This record gives sequence, C-alpha cells and structure tokens, in this order.
Amino acid sequence: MKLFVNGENIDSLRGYVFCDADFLTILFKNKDFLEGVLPLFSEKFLVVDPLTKLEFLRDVYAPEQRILKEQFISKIFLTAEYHQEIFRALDTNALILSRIYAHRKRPGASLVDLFLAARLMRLSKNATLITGNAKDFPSFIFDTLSIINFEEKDGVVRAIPLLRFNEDKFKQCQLDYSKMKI
Amino acid sequence: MIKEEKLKPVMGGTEVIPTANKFSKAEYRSIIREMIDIVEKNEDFERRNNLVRNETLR
Repeated sequence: MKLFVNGENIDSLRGYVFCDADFLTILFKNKDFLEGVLPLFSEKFLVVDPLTKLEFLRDVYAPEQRILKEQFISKIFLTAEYHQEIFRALDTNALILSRIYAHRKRPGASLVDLFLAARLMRLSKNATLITGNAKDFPSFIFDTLSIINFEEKDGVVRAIPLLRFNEDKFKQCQLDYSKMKI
Repeated sequence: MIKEEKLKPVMGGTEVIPTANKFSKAEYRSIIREMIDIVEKNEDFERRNNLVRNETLR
C-alpha cells in the first residue's frame, strides 16, 4: 500500500503521539495500512488514553475477538496515566472545551474524544494526536501538522490527520466565549 | 443574577508516560509482524462469522 504524507515531517514531531479509537480501529481492520503506517512512528512513543482503550475494547460480543483486540492493543501502545490529580485536570479542561465547542456551534463531541482533547490541552506542546476522525478536534482549537493519505481496497482515499492543540487559538476562543453576556 | 462557574484551564502537564518498552528497530519490526498476525486472525474470524450469518439467513 502506498501512503502519501503531507505536511510536517513525522520524525520532527515532539513528545508523545496519542492515538484515538478510530485510528486504532483502522489499524485493526487494515493490515496493509498498519504495515505502512507504523514504521513511520518507530522513533515515537505511541500512546493511548485509558478511555480510548476502553472505547476500542468495548462492545465485543465474541470472546475470541475480544482476546485478539486485547493482544493487539498491548503490543506497541503505551497507556497514559490516569490518577485522581490528572482526572481532575482533564475534567476541568473537558468542561471548558465543551463550552467553547458549543459557543462555536460544534456541540456533541463524544465524551471519550472530549477527554482526549482535554489531555492534549494539558500536555499542549508535548503531545500530537493521530486520528481517524478529526471532527471532534476542531480547527478553531487544533492545528493540522500533517496528513497521511492512503487508498483503501475499494478505491476510497482516506486522510488521517496529525493534530496538535494550539494554545493561542484556545485563548482566543476563551476570550470570545467570555464576551457572552449572561 | 446567574453566575457561571469560573474554570481555570490546566496546561503544561509534564507527566512522564512510562517508556520502558522502547523497542530496537528489529524488535519494532517483529512486533509489527505480530500485530499483522493478529489482524489476519481477526479477518479469519470475521469471515467465518459472515459465513455463519449468511447460512442462518438462507
């Protein structure tokens, strides 16, 4: 499979690379993509948030498939910390982000993605996100650093963006939000 | 008058994510191979499942 990477060089990305559940699912369902994309991150730390892990593993009916998924996620991905102090920070960030999303007429982000966005916000420059679905990580808060394109078996071309939280954009959104009158 | 709760954003987190399993290039390649095996097993599983589903529907 041929991959086309546009934008910032993946080797130059700083910090951890967080994976969302959509990206994990694409990897799990598409061995050619997996074989092509994972070597690009051989020098990086691929990380999953505990809630992302839960989302990836949930709702599997057959025990055989559940075991395969558990084996898959335990191979290469590190799990981010999730103790009480971090949860409190993420909880606050998630609520702030949800207010901004609503203010910008983009409500309805999934809870898991909201917490992942809160995690990226907390780590800001030290974290990048690779996602199979960027709609819960809007461009008024996140920058697109790079895009990995690949062609699926049915000929459809998919784009997998790498995103980073932008503190300046966030501050602007917060300022706009604060101007709202109660 | 209604007052909204003021929330202070938390940024600049520096938690260290355990990186004990940093792999050598050869290890990394071998792990990717193992992951491909898992994906292939899952494909087999889904294929069998689809066959059973089609038989049931017939």
